[in-house]
Amino acid sequence: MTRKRTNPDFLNGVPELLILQLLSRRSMYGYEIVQEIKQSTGQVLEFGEGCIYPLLHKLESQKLLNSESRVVSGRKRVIYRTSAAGKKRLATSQENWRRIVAAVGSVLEGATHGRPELA
Amino acid sequence: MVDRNWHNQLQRELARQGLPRRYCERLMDELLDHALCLKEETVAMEATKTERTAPVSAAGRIGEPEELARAAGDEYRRRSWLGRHPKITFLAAPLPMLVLGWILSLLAFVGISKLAELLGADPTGVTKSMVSSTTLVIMEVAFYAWAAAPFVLTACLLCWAAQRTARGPKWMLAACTIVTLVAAMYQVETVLPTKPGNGKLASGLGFPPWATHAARAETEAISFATNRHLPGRILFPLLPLTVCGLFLWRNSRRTPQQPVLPQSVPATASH
Repeated sequence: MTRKRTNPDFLNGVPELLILQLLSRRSMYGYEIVQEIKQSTGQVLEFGEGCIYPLLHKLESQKLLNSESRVVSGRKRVIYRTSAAGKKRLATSQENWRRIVAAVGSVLEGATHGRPELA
Repeated sequence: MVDRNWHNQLQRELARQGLPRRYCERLMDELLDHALCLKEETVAMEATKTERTAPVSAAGRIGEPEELARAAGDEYRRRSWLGRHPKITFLAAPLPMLVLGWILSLLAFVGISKLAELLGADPTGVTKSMVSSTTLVIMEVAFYAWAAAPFVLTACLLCWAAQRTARGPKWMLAACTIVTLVAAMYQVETVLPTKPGNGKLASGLGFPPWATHAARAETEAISFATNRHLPGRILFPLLPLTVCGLFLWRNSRRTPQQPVLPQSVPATASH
């Protein structure tokens, strides 16, 4: 049995951002969300599939997601969707994310601003 | 695909995290649904692929029970401020909570006295010889209940917070031990007035906790004190620990001892 490698700690907050974004498009349940993340990111982002549920529950407790319980083929399934508050949070998170990406990108691409001058 | 051992181990690990039963049940339902979706996915892939690939177990894709339970426990505890700050909640908060409890209990005592006066049941001038021994016992029990109320309520609140935030027995016990230590030193005495203005209500912390004095018990005035009888001195501080024990006992009864896989779910013995 192989252990699933997960992305490092600096990706904290990314799963939440992705979940909010995906669930703002359409309602999904846990398995669907995991598959959607895998496909959308070209399997670059990987986390233990079961670990998505504590995140979903946290977002739901923060009123960022709405959930609905259904019985499908005799088993319970919880369908999630981004709430109005979740959409507001998503907009803020997207803005923050873009600023971080731009800032990191400017460093990686060798922007001269702030470079120490040579004597 | 849905391994019974994996399922049972996950239930045990979730219970060990001290998570509420309803939360565990919901998480288990979702993980079980996820595992069955993976099974359906594997079946579909095997039907379309000519080249067979090694099947991946539910644990391999979903995660190890310990890892899942830890993730669930961590996320659950991070939900509330109380859960994120256990040192403040369970080590620093008990003392201010007790002080607030004493203030409220003193206000309640004064309020009840004023109400008794308004209703014409003023105890001024009532002495031991004027009431029956049964009445005296009832009054003493009421006095002890009133004196113990801040400690019992504080212990209940802290245990409830520990349970609610899935912080587990360690923090529950630590908080109740602090309450117990303060309760061991707490002393309160009241003397009903024999004439207007000479009643007394005194409270404070005394050391050593087991010290008793029965001097005022000999007088004619009706008086009660938590430091009068040694059994009372011993039992009084045990109340917060009893509350803690009751919470722990209730939690242990809630924990499913023999996890059972739902009948509708196919199970295999290996993965």
